[in-house]
Amino acid sequence: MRETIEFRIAERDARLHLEPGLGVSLGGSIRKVVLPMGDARVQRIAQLNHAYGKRGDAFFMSWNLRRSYTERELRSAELLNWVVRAHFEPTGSMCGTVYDASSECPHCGAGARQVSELLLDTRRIPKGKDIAQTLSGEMVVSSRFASAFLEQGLRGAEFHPVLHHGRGALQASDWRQLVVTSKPLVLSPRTVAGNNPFDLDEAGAFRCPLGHVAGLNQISELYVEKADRDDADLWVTDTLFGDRRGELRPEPRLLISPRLRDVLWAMDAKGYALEAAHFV
Amino acid sequence: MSADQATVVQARSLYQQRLRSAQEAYPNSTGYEKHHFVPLYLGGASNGQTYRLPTAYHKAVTQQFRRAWPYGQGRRPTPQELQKILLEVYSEYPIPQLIGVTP
Repeated sequence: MRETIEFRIAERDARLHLEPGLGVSLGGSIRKVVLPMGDARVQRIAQLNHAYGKRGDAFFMSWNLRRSYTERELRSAELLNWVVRAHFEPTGSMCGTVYDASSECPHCGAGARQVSELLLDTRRIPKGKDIAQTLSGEMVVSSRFASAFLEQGLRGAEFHPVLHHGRGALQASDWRQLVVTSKPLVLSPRTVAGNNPFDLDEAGAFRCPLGHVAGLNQISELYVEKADRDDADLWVTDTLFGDRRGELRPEPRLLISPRLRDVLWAMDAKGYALEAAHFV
Repeated sequence: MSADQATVVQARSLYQQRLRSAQEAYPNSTGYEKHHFVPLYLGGASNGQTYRLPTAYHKAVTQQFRRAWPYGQGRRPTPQELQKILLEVYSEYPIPQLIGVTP
């Protein structure tokens, strides 16, 4: 596995502290810098961010850890993190999907229950994808994915209708809502969560005191408890990541079996990435 | 002229320059669109503060936000990171209403 980190840094700050040839300029005012995680310059950037943070500022605006795997590594993984790459808006609630917020956690905002069919402006779902999610975490899959899942006898999910909410009356769509029905896998404390790779939220500002949310962001690969695992092919984690902010909601992570991985590969599904995950 | 006035004059000039560039980049984008001051993908509320912007300029602002924090990464900025993003984007692409310009 090769781990790289991408930073987006204001050009003004980058000019002050980084070597001129490092990274590429985006539109003249933002610099994109990609480095292997082990590179000494990553630590330098982390130190700069810490120093900026002391005066209420931030050195980098954005970071993104990318883990890339060889096909052999993904083939040998006993469990995989199914990372949805295609996102869109408006969200279900913006299109009229009804939620019951009475079960929502007052600390982290997790737990609102969908009580209507999923209504979306399906024209906004990224084209050519087999899985996509709204900013609120509602997941939709293509009908060809739903068919392949059922035909292959895979377990752990149901596919509910998605209604198109346009200007006129509600209409049926080719999309299906992915509803995971298997028993959630218990997130192991070995999974690292935090604000960013250099700030693991020691104060616990984004950790739910009731245990619903592990932290603002997933930093490491996922580790889940093997005990009590059911025989499904698709699971969610029992503990979520993120926060309740505007349209954003805390979200679980998706995990899949090697069988489902093979189905995704065989159908050349689009809209996702895979990372190795681990039973402990 | 005070330093504050000079900053506003500079921001107005920058807005006009960015608007012209946006209209050149998106010649078919006419009319106006509603812009969320904090974009939804960064945690803005759908009923949050919005500004009416020329469509081409709105596209340019959106592109700048996505340079600062790419869309659809499955991650969230901290409040400090979000503040930095907003400052950097709006210092490059001012909101006209906030500098006394009618778009």
